[in-house]
Amino acid sequence: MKYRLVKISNLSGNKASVYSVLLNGEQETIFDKFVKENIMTFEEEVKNIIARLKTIGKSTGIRDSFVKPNEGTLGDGVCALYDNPDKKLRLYCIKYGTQLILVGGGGQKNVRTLQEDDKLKKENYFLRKLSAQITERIKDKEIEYINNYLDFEGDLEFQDDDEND
Amino acid sequence: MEKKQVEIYRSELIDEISSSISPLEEKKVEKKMLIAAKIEDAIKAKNWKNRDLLEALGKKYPSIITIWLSGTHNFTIDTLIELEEVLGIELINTKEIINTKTIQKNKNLFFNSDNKTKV
Repeated sequence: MKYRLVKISNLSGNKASVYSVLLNGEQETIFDKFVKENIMTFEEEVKNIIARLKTIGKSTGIRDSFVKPNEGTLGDGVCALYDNPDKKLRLYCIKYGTQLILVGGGGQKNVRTLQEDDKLKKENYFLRKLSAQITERIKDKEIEYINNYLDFEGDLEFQDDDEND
Repeated sequence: MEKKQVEIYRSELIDEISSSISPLEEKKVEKKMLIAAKIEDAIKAKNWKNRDLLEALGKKYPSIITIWLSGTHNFTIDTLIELEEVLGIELINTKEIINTKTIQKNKNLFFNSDNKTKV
């Protein structure tokens, strides 16, 4: 499976860029899919998530306090955007400083740990893997920050069995 | 490997859903996040940790600070005033002089430009 990073222009702004992942051959990002999967059942929450992302892009940037950290492995930046106790949805993201966030997928959290839910586990683990791939490429300078840490440039295409060159 | 810029992607789905979010709702979301950001910046400016704020306010449970700073909280006026006092910041502006210019300047999120029909 091949996929690439894309910048969502209608969420990004001069305070932060909002990225997601486009699987090869598909027309929608994994964030679009999250929206589609949940808009009927959780319309207000999905709208609120979109409004929050727009605010992050245009007004506030990404603050640690706006996300629930440590949703992946230690130090990989995988976090969850939404974690009010009364909210039902969990959206997994990878946070890069205060100016770049990569939004993935997620779903309804009604279990104690994500490992108990196949859907949440799949979405979360995909981001863990992607985070590791991006980190490796940053280390090898195949991906670099540009525009004052607002963007990535470089080799932004990946595949499931991607190894270092 | 040649350095490539990230591909720009415009989501039609997000556009569609965004158009169904009222300007007022967007403003509420933005203001809550900006207030949270201001409180957090004030905590840092005082070289405090969250627990210092907790102590200054005489609160018991650290989770309340996490909720306040999440950008999703709907504060009461009482809490905002308490935060203003301990942090030395302004979160509620009552000094704004109200006249017709002020009303016109501030975007009216309830009504259309005719000032009569609701958005």
